[in-house]
Amino acid sequence: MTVFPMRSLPLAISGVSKVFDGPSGRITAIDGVDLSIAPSEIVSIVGPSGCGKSTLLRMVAGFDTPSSGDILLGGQRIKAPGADRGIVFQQPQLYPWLNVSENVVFGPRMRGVPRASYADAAVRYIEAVGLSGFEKHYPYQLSGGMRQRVQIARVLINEPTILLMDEPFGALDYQTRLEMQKLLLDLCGELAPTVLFITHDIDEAVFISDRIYVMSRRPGRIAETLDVPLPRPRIYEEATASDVFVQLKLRVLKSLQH
Amino acid sequence: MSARPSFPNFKNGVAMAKPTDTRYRVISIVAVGAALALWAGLSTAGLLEVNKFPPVQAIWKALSDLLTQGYSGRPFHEQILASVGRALAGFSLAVLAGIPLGIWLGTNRFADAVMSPFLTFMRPIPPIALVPLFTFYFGIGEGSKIALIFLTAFLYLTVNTAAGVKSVPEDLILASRSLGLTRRQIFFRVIMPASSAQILTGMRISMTLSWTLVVAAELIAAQVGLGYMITDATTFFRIPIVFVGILTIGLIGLLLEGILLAVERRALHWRGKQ
Repeated sequence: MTVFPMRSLPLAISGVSKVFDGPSGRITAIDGVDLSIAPSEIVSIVGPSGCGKSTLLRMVAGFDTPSSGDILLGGQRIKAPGADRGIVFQQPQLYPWLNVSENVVFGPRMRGVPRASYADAAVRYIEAVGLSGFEKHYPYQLSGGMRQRVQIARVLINEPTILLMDEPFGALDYQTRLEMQKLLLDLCGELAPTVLFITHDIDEAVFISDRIYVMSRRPGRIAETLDVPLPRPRIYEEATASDVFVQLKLRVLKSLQH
Repeated sequence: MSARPSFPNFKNGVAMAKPTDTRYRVISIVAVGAALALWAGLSTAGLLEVNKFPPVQAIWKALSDLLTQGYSGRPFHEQILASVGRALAGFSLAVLAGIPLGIWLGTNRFADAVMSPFLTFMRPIPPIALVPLFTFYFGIGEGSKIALIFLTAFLYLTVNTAAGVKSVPEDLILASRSLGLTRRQIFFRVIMPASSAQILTGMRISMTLSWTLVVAAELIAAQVGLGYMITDATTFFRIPIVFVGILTIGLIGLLLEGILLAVERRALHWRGKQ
């Protein structure tokens, strides 16, 4: 495959809080979160529902702004959404009226990038996510896992400096989820993107991450930061059977129960 | 690269016409044939009162008379075209006004808040209840009938279009913003195609509504049209003509629905077989 490492940037979140005005007064969704990701690192946030992990990701995406604190990507403050950050949602969010190819190139096409400079990339990224031969299929003809593959190719073609993944495999069946985790690690091996990954699947977090941040229930705070010293490339069957994996999994579980 | 996807149920995922579809179609055709045969049989056996339920042959004769002589001085096709014209006029005006308004209400919460109480209140009022008032406002001619069809189709289209626009997933819009689309592109290239399915379905349903309503409006006051023809014919006990009128209304209704369904299927092939 001919895809090349991306220009990955570091992410620095410092002292970020988010306060919402709810019907029953002010709600602190996120309280003083510090988090940093080095270029090409894969970092997961795990936490119970409603801990604000998705809110945090949406602020990095630029859909929302912090009430206080800073989010810096490559030293630049995030102001608005942009194609430099590739967001993968839990639901595929494809354009159902466009086929696989058209979905993948929609971003660059709309931004006015000349066709010549994205046509080859489309072929490469469709191949990289394992969808060669399905270019002309419409989303309704694809399985859930294949739709997520399209979504991943659609952000990779923009050569983002960071991948933001919001429980991307949470709606898939177990088998497909494992397949997608392997695909993600393969892609990361070749493209070396910076990854911020939200999940509530502890096995998934330990298997894919370099570091895990455990968030507490509302107000969302970082309860614990855990490094994952598993060597790469990781083979699922070996990695998940290792003592390091089992110990870490228990640590995360314990941390979540506090 | 490793980790090729597995494609569970892929062949099932692409819904193909099942062999049973044809079988059920045959069953439907047989059922219609059987009903017609039963009717003819009952008539021939003298079990139906001829004055109230004319035999099939009488209806056939009424149809050929209508085709050659017309009804009350006007050819049959003129009666049909009068009704179709009114329905299409009201429906077209409703599309021109209702769809843009619906799109606006679907994207502007303030406008929606202002308009929705009126639209919600008007919708359950049976259009026929407005006929006397509309006759008073717009006269006994074309105006009152077209206004009635317009209003009914317009209310349906506006509310349905607004709902279609509102149902575009928030995350699809966010995904588009993060792909770098401008607000204008999100409107024209995402929100419009994403809501087109519901808008087209709404057009088909309001077309059928318009057709139902034109005939109802003509029952009350008209000098030409299928509704006029069946009321007038009933008054003179020309029951076979009434039957021909009713069957024609049904067939044209099916035809209009079929045309719009075909347009919908073609334009919305990406929804898959439904």
